[in-house]
Amino acid sequence: MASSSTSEQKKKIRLKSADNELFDVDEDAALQSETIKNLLQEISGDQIVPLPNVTSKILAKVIEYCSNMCELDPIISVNKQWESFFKNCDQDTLFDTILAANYLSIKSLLDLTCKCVADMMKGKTPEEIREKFHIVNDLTSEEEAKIRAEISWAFE
Amino acid sequence: MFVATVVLVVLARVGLGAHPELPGLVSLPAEVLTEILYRVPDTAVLAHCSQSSKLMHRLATDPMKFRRALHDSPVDVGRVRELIADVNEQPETLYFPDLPSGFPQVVLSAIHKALHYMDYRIIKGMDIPDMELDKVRDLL
Repeated sequence: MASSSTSEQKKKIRLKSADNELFDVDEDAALQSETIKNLLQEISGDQIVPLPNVTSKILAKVIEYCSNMCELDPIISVNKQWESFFKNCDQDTLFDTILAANYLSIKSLLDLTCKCVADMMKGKTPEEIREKFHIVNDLTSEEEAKIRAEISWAFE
Repeated sequence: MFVATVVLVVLARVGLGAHPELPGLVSLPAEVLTEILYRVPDTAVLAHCSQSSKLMHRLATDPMKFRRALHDSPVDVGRVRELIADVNEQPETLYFPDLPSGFPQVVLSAIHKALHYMDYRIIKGMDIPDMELDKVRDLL
């Protein structure tokens, strides 16, 4: 099938994930990452951009997100779809995406994913937060009592 | 699984639990955890987070981090007033309190909470409902 001349003209950037998988990405999508933008300034245009901190599974999601942000309108509805995805995915995927967004410096993705985690904490007691996020309680009962006294204003 | 959890709890209790090796939320770097805490929806959630572990308490109650967040925020007083003016509120009634060193957590959290709402509107391009605006005004 013949592709359109528009898509043929789009410059592609080749990215390599931590597990050595290659991804050809539209330049405008790739450049949403400040890290990739900076790396491209250091290497020649045709070289592969290595991303040793991002696995292929997560990089594929990040690329899909960046492509969506470039292509779809309005952004708000796209954001809603992604928000829904991150709220329903497993925690490993969510946290790995946060790490990837932080490493790749994609501010909108970092904001979205961090907000998803923050929203998951809403209405939960400290014990429920620990359970939800696998946090080990390393506070002594004395420390817990002290903290409770310190933060009592928050519930007034 | 149960045994592993018990071991982790015991190690943590005796101070041998290194946070980066634990699975889940606290395995994230502190800078990322702070980004999450900036976005919690209200001060009660922040307070509950601070009760969940030593690390979360340190991050949720670190004045310097929240001060830096305020400094780095794209929202300035003028911008806040513009935003409120946009929705026919009274900008002259709003102000950011002065930030002396060691200012109380309640002020920090109030600023954090206000910035959360403001940032949300700017970044997402969404309108803040009147009810939410009232909350922001109360906090300021």
